[in-house]
Amino acid sequence: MKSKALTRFATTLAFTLAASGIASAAEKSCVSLNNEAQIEQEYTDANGQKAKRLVPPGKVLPGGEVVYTITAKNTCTTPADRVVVDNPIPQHMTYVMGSALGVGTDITFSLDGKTYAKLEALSVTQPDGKTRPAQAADIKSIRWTYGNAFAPGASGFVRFRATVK
Amino acid sequence: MKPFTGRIKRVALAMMALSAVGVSSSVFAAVGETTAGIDITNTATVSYTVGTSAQNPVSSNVATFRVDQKVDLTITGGTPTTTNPGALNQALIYTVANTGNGNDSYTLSVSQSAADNFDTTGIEIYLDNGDSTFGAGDTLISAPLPLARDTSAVVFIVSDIPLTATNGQTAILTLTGTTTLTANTGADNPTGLDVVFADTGNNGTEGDDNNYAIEAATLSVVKSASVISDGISVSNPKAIPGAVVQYTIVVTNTGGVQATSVTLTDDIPSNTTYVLNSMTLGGTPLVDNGGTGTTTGAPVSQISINAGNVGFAPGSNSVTATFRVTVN
Repeated sequence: MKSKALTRFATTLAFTLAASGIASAAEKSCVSLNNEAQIEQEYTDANGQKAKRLVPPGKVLPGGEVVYTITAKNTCTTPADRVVVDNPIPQHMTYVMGSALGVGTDITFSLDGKTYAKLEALSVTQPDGKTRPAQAADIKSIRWTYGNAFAPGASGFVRFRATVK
Repeated sequence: MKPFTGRIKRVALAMMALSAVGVSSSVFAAVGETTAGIDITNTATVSYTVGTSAQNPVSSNVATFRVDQKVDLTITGGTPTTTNPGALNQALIYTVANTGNGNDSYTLSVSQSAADNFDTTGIEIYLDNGDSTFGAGDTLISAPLPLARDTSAVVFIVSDIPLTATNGQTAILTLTGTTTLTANTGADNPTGLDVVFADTGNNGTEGDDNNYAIEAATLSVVKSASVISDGISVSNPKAIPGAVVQYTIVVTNTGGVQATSVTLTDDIPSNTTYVLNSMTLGGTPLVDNGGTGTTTGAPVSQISINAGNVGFAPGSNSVTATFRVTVN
């Protein structure tokens, strides 16, 4: 009897803890998101080989390409599921076709910032009524949908490139 | 492939912007480009669930960088100026365009070519008042010329032509513009405004030639024939055998300088015979081979008249000579 009561108490306690965990998550988020703008720089490595690296965006002129890296991290002790990262294309910039990547993500695009679909499913109606496939300049936002939950402490990054108009 | 796709797109955008604002010239490649100094910000958001509960979306930090200044200018020499020896305040036209993505000022200078015929003197640079013609309303440029992005200005090099210049010679002058901005050579600054020289040669300096051309005299000749008498009809003579026909040659100088040592030469048409001592110049009869009018051959097969100088001033820019033949 004594042990049964203890078990019941423990269960109740665990439930209460879990409930308070969710409550605190609503106030203090469980996923942190870092966004970094960089540019690709060619340099000569120690072996004399030309290589590329990402550096802070020093000189950026119209036409210049910027690499954005968005890193999500689960900062809680519970898994974060159905992680979806959205990044609207910044004003004055144009998405670089084919540049969006994210390991373990399903990448979709939006022409209006609201509805997302695979790039090949997106089309634009032209003034003459005909439709054409969506082009880089049409893309307003990118969405990365993770297939797997983020374990506690786990992180992942997604990336895209855009050029300054 | 990725950068290539992006570049194509930028070109298309620039063209769209051009047509939208109605800029006819394609000189402004920067139209539609983001203006220097603008901060471009980027924010991502993430949504997720814990257990089955959707959590409040989380925004990332704002990633920011500043669009730097691309210094670019284009100078284009216009149509060469035709002028005369000794002419004063002659203007050469040029267009200076700011083709970068920010406002700039350009120091203008003039250099004379070593590969032409003469140099001009008293050189000054004027800013046009909008009529693309050098005149009293134009302004002497004595300081760097400010130009907002995507704008251009018409400027003139004004100078004097030496009296020693001669017909057909040219003087080539180069107008050079140099940005007053200094290229950033220090460490790149993501949040500050760097200056990059994006012009040809990446030196912030561009120039182009135009030239003065000393115009040569341009002569036109009009020859006409009229029947003077046919021995039968006085009122309406016909060119029948024995008729006298007068040829009139009018030489006109349509150029900008005096033509000198002008000689008119004409062959006596076949089946006609030159009427001796029938040449006239400016209405004055000439004696054959008397110094001004010369005949060649016996019978005469060709005549020539030394018309001397033919000026270019309207009203006194032509001479008239005549001679007569009889129809065989």
